Amino acid sequence: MNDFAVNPIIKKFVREQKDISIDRYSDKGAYGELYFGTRNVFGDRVALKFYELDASGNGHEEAQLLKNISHENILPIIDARILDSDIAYYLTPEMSGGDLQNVIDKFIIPSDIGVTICQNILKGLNELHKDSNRMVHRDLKMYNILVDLKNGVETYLADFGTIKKIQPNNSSVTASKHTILYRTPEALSSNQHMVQSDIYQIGIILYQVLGGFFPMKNPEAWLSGRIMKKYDSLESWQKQGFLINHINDLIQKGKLLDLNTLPSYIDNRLKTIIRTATRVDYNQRYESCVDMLKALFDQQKGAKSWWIDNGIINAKCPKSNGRYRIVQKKTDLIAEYSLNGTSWRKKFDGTEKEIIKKITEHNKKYK
Amino acid sequence: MKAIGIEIDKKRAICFALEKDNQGTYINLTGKFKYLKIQDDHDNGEIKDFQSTIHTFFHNINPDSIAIITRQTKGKFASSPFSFKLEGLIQCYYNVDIEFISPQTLTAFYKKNPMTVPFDNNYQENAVRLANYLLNR
Repeated sequence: MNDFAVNPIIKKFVREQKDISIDRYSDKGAYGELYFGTRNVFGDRVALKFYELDASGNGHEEAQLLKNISHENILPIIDARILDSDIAYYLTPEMSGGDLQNVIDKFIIPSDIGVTICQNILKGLNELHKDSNRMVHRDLKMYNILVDLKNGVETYLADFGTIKKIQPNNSSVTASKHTILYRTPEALSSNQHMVQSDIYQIGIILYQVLGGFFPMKNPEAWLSGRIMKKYDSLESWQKQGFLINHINDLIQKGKLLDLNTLPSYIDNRLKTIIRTATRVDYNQRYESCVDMLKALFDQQKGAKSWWIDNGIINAKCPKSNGRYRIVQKKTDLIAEYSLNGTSWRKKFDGTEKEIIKKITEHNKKYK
Repeated sequence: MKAIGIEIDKKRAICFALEKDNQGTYINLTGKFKYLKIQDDHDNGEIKDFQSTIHTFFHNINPDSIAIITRQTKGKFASSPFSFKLEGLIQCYYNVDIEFISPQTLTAFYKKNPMTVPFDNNYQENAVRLANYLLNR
């Protein structure tokens, strides 16, 4: 299972216990060891997250939070148990799609599904933010969103290790320093995190899900031109600091996201939503999850589903189920239309931008 | 005390969320959620989205009461059947029972009580009157 570095007590438990046939280990768990397996009685897939307890036996906050907050878009908890004086674990369902980064890496996500995913995250997040809870997540990112593909695209907020409660008479807590790329401008300038900071991180997730340039696994891709040359000239021990400073600089100037890298079919309304959610000044962002949710609801009305498959732009009208695809025929770019997905006929021609506009208008006429 | 007044007007649900604190001061909690409009009632996705979005709004406000202004179901001035569909979606909210208040009840209430709550847009007037009524009846 490739868990050679795991605490031997956990390894022994995993191999000896009879309730769950554990078959997989993941090193992605942020604050503990993560195993997956099948429950022998029910036959369902579960995830076991092991975590450490302090000398007084405390450390169950994340499990307790998951137990107390019940929402259809928040990861449900099945059970939690104490293994010994130092270690405990909790059990949740395993999500078939894994985390959101895994889903966008492996599957083609049409634009409307991407928006739905973000709407679901916002609904779960609203549960944390609402007056009776007043909590902020502080570490929203692709890896902390789990997706179940069994029944459509069900989305769950996970990893509650960074959650903090905003005290009465305060509007912020100290910022989390966990993920550089998702740090907010206010975290860098004043080490603050508030409701609007979570919204900023959702804005980044929306941008990523829709296909914007955001190299998570290759940080050097954030460097270009003159800055890249300077980076290359540095000693290896200086490089990481330089890279972090450069990314912090991009965040504070509001230049981390380049909306021009989004696919050409992403309309201006959706770009405006991302722009509003990720403004440098948090006062100019959406005030609450509900405000952003409403903006996405309004944008989705009558909108078509767009995706790119093998370099070809496809679109689908959700009502008629009519399909469009933009293809190169000799030297011309044309849009083909099909009602059944098999027999295609030419519908529009022009530049890519013109064709996308015509497809959008065609949809409106249908309505 | 928090209350949400809703007026359904054709294809949109106009919402006004109001809070009255211990000092009797009114706080408008509506934010940008002034109305939610449906474009196509035969689009299942849009209908489901409408329901979950408006319920998330209710959830966020966590009101003590929510009410909708009743409309005529029959006769020359009957409201659009479409609006009753929206009403049903709103009624599915599980945390608070949705009440129905008639325009006549509001008219009678405001004959004896002044309306002092400020609001931004004229179209919100009935929803504001209803929210204020819920807090002071």
